This record gives sequence, structure tokens and C-alpha cells, in this order.
Amino acid sequence: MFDKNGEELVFKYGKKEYQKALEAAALCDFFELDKDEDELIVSTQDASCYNCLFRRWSAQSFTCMKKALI
Amino acid sequence: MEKFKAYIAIDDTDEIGYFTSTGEICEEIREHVEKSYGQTTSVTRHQLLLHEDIPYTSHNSSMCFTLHASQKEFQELQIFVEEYVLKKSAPSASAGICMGFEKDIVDISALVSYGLDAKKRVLSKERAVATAKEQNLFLKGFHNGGNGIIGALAGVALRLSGNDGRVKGKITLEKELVSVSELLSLGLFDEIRVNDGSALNEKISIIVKEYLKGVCISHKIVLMVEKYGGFYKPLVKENLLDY
Repeated sequence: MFDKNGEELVFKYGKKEYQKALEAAALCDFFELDKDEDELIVSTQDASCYNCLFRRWSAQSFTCMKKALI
Repeated sequence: MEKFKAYIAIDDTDEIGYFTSTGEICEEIREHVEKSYGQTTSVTRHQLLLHEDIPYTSHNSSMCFTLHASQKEFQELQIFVEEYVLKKSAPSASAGICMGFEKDIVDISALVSYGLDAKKRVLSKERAVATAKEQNLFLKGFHNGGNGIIGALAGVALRLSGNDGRVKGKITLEKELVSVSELLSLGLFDEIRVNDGSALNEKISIIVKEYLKGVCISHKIVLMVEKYGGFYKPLVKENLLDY
């Protein structure tokens, strides 16, 4: 699901692969919903990396900062 | 005591995994201003450039709202905002605040150009400081270099443009089906627009299954809707990312 870029883990599928973002979150032990409701960009019914407190958006995708920290 | 329209914007107050966000901090400041000094406008969120050379936390967005204040009230507010941002910012944040009266801005189009540049280019702190000085705006950074001044100034500039940003917060209604005129009469939106550019048919009702969220277009708070069967439905979440 993620490509390693130096110390960073970058989501392979960009910003609009909603199903892949759900699948990635389902596999992750560190998912946490962003505290700011305004930054939740997809449904909160199921965990999605797109709504995670630890994602850092980039021009093409996002970097998982939690995995980068461990 | 004469009051004038003023802008307050903040940026870069959080860190990854922090318990609060710049949007929440700005909303708390707005609530204080509303309670102590009178009516404010909603906080708007302005998306800035996502680029590897910019040390943002997670979204690179700036928050802004407007108010009316006298010169004396504004001086008090300046102290309050500085102290509040300092108190609430994350330890590794690089917070910035920008405040000023619209009447004091020398060249609105130059300031708006700065804001639009912040959406397309990597800007320097030096340019932010020089622009704020030219436009008579108060600009201050705190901790870790205070890089947030770049985005805070952009927040004021983009709010001033009247054509950028989403309104913070989500409005929910008690009923699912509402007419266009009924919704406009609530005073939450200045206008309702259809996303494909077609004329709004006021006879068609709007189905609100989730929430309503405004965007800034032509200095108005606009609710964007899309056709949905024989109804309209508001644009939400991923459909509003371009605003």
C-alpha cells in the first residue's frame, strides 16, 4: 500500500483511491480519526487513511507520519 | 466609537497527532471575539500549496475570520490573540498570526496576488514580512522560526479575495427535505448554486442526508448542490476539496 521514500512511507495510490485508503486503514494498528472534523474528507463509517490524524497530504498523495515515527 | 472591518488569520499552530488543530484554535478565538466585542463572520479554511519544501503539519491550510472593532478594541484583541496562540500552539509548531483593518490595506490587489501565489508557489518569510509591512498588517510568528506568518498572511489575503475557502463547521438540519427558499431564509447562505453551472430551479427541493457546508464565491457564502434524481443534494466531503 505504501512506497518507501527515504524515511517516509508514501501512499501508493494517490488522493482519490477511496477503496485502497479503506483497505490500508483496515490493515493498520495506528489509525486515529483526525481531531478536526473539517479535515475529514470521506465518510467516517469505516476507517480510511484519508481521514487519519497521522496522514500528511502532499501534491500527489499523502505520507503516513505514524509509520514514519516508529 | 467607530468600528471598522478587520481580519484575523492564524496558521501552523499544530503538530502531527496534536489534540487540537489550527481550525479549532481559530474558532475558539472567534468565539471569544464574538462574546466580547460583537458579531464576527465564520472562520474560513484556505488551502495553500502542498509542496515538499514547505514544512506544514498535515494540510497546509490557513484559517481566517472577520469582525468589526474600534482601534482600541483591536489593540486589546492583538494581545489576546498573541497570548492565546502562544498558549494553544503545539511545542513543535511554528505559529503565525496576521491581523489588520481592511481600511488600512494600501493595495488590495497586490495582497490578493500574494494569497494566490501562496496556493501556487513556495513563498519566503521575507516576502511575507515585506508584504505585511506594505499593506499595514500586523504579522507575528512564534517559536521554531514562526514560518506560520507566510500562511497567516495568505489567509487574510485569500479571505479578502472573496473567492477562496470553505466555511469551517458543518450545518445539520432537523429535516431531510428542504426547499431552496426555505434554506435561503435561514440566513446561513447568501446563495445556492448548482455545480454544473445550470440555473437553480427553486421548485426542486434539496435532500440533506448529511450536512451543509458553505464555500466562498464572489464574496458570498454559497451552498453548492448537485442534481440527484429529481432533487438537489449538497456537495460534501471529497466534492468540496477544490474550494
